[in-house]
Amino acid sequence: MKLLGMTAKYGGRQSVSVDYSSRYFLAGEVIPVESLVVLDLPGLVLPKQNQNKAEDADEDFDGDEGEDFDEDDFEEEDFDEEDDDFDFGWSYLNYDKAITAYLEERGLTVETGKKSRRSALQIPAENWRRATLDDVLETENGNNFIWQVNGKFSLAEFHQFAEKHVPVAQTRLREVLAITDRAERVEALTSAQKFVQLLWQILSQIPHVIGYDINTLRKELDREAVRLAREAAKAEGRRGLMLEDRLTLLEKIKTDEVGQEILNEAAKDIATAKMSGDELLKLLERLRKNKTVYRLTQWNPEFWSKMAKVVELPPNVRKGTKLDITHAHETTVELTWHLLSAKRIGAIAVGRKALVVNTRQGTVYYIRGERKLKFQVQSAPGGKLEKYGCILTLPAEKSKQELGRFLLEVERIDALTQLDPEAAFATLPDAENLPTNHPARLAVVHARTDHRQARILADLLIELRTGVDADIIRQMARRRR
Amino acid sequence: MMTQDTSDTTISLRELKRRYKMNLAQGKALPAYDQPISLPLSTGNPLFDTVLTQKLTSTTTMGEAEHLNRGWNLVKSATPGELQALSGVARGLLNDYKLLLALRAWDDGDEAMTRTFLRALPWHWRLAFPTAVIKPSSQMFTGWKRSIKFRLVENPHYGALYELYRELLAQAPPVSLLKYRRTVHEATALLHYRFEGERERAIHDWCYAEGNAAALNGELEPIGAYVRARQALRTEGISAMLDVLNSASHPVPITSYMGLLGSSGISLKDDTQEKVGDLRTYAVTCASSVESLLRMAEWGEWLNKSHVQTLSNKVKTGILETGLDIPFFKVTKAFLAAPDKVRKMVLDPLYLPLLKHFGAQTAALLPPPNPITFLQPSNYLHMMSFLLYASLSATAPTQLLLIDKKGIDAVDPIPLETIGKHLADSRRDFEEWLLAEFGGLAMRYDYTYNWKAVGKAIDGLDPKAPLVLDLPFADDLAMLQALLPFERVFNLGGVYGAPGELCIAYEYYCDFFIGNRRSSMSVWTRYSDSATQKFGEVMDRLSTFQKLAQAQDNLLKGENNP
Repeated sequence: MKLLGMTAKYGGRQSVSVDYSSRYFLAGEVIPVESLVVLDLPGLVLPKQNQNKAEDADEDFDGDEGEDFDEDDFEEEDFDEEDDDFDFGWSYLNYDKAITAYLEERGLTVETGKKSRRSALQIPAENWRRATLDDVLETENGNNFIWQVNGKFSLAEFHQFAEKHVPVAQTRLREVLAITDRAERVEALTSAQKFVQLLWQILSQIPHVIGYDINTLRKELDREAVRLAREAAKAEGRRGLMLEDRLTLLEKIKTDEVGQEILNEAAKDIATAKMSGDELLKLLERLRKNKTVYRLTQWNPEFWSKMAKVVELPPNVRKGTKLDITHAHETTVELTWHLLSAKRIGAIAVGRKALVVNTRQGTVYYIRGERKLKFQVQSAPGGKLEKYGCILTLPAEKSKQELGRFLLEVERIDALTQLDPEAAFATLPDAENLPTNHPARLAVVHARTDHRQARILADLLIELRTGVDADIIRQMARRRR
Repeated sequence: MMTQDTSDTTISLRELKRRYKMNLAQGKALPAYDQPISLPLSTGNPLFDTVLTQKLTSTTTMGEAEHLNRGWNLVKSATPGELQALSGVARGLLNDYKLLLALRAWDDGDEAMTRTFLRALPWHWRLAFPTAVIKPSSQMFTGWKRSIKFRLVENPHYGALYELYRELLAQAPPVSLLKYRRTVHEATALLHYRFEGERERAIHDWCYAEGNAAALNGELEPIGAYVRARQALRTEGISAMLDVLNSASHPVPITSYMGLLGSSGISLKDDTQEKVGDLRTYAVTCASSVESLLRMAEWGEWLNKSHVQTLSNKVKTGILETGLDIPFFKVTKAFLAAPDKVRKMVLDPLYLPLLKHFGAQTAALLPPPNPITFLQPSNYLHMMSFLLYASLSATAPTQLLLIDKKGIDAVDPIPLETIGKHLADSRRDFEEWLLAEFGGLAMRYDYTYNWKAVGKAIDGLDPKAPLVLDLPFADDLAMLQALLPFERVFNLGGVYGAPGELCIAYEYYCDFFIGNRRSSMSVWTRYSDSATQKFGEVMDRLSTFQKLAQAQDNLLKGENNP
């Protein structure tokens, strides 16, 4: 019986795992970690198909982490054969149990320290070797490792594999097509299908391998270009690459990884250049307009963390600007192009909180402050507050359809009803017109002596104000925070 | 930390759970999802339960204001007997409720009871008492809610409040006045407090002005040191500031020091910073023992042996000799997050003594019979649970049972010193030690267990002795059956539902999931880090639950036999 496994290190020693469960030491040659190996275990007896359940009553299956599929659990009608969901085709046998029993029976243990009735198990050197692609096709559990072959075998090995096995597949298909008897043909097709599926899955990794090779070669060429540029700079008597050199290089190189390395070095230089705040912002604006730089910094935490240490973000909005902050949301400020191209009301600090408004026209505003600023603006006369030279507004709701404006109100009502029920009731616009036996009035009275009535009052007030079920809009208000 | 009452009349976990279910059914207890500290226990008295579990924070369906309203109503309706019982265990209550009880006592005009609850509070809260009386929203809420106008206390007794605050100011250590300047400012402003005498006028200067007068008052060190240091930094630079600080009679608190540095753009992480060595030395000198431990990761890049020696001395005198409670989980997290080099440096002089100290304190809350049994899977060792076992085993009889599909292994006791040596190991070294200690068990990643064998082993344990479970993804009826007779089961994993069992808490995180209609594959990580933290807290809280449950029984007896 031959099985595939993946190597790893444990306690500094070479080990192998077959089904992501137990590990066994590997004697003999030391090979790189995460290599595929073939275990040759003559006489290994596999358990019954789908051995996720105990073989006997004493060993109940219990709890597992990871693969969790049992074909026997499914009736025929449970899945649709027309279903075009991808069939992973994995085998879900409990190899670990079989291998453990096999090694223990043969005394293939190794002492690791204290005596324990659970000895560490070891596979002798003669019972394993490095795997080839043929092994993926030929081993009992090869189909479990198809997604691992990418990165383990070279393009040349895949090419060799294809040269060997594609003709075999063609021959088999030819033979199948020659069968005229329908029953016989079904059998032959079924057998061919399994082989062809596995073959195809392995061959389908080739584009990824090609992509990997392309990327590797490109990186080598890019690094060569960087090296040459450095040598040229040195020859001209310069200490290293200037920003202009780097920007020129970025237009030539092909890989994002090297591009980001170049940019991160540029960021380090910029951060130590001791520029004024304005100069730095102008430089960053120039970089932002460079499409390559923009793309390479979309996800480049190292670049931004270097910039965040030196960038200052003063306000950049004309004094007297008016802004409706009804839909502003609080965020923790991160330095990104989005922030750098936004309008800023008040000085913005990276790592601190700010309110963000996206206007319908597509302009983004960052406002220095926290969520409580929205409440301050709402409470200000006319829903207007001057802040940092601008006028922030949060107008009263125009209609019940504008639920967004009510979310702050919901939070306020919820708190006020608990702390001052009369004041909460008074916030209702037409409170005085409610009849004396209105449930809201009764709840106010009862809330004076029974604190549970406060919640009932809150629900009533919220529903009167918004027309929406209180619990629903409460959840929305919480999520919007 | 309180020690457990070892008398036979101790209310059992089973009884506390039963009382919770009864009260929940009658609407007197909050459901678990609305308990800020989720514990399915009840003393039988909703007030007593609330003061132990209902922090004033938002929960699933209740906001902070609703929790406050509920809690205050319970406090307001408390009988004299209930107040007396609570004053006897004041230190074990949540700070929010120590404050509310102080307010209730103040409203009643009972100054003695007010002082009892105030003394149980940290200085930050004590100094805010007038604010809590006059403008409670400012003390109890954050954000926009701080501006809501309401009162809890009907009669503020302004005259007496004024005098009480004078007393508090006189008692407050200057370091608290330094740290909580804004609190004192707000409280005195609300009181229209008139500062009298030289000391109080210096405090006024500190809170309302630049503090230059405070700097001249020798009784208010380290406020003076701070003000002089700030001035020196502004006018003469870092060296002058360090001279002032090093020559001061009292060190300034680390938070004030870091604030001073931060506001001047000085970073301890910057090796090119002028005088960075001296700046770092002062930081280590002025941090308290706990503060320094919590900053291990932050300071890791530059801590050296000399710093560690200083910290070690602080731990010895500040914690071990005084018996101070420590936030063990936070300290452990900080230790594990620190760079390898730092962990190796601090392991023996700092971390191991603390581990032992925590173990001794927690063990004191788990009275006999013993041993304390830990039941864990052998397929992996969860670090936090293992540390808990190690720390308890140093001071109390314990046993560790490891289970796997073949059965159960009673592991020979492993001394804390043995485990401790390896806590700073690299992954490879730690694995080597696991192999040496546990043999092949360390290599088995099997998640199937022999439940019959587990059941038999559990049947052999004393059901009155504590049992600590940490069995992830392990659910079996046989296990529940075996746990039924046990009185004290602390489950760091998924709950089984046995009557004497308390599930401490855990979180599962899905790292990867892929599936279709026919099959799925998922990879989960389980963190019971918070469970181990909560273990210590729960033990402490459990002790108070039992005391108050007993008090409730006594009150009921008193009512029935007046």
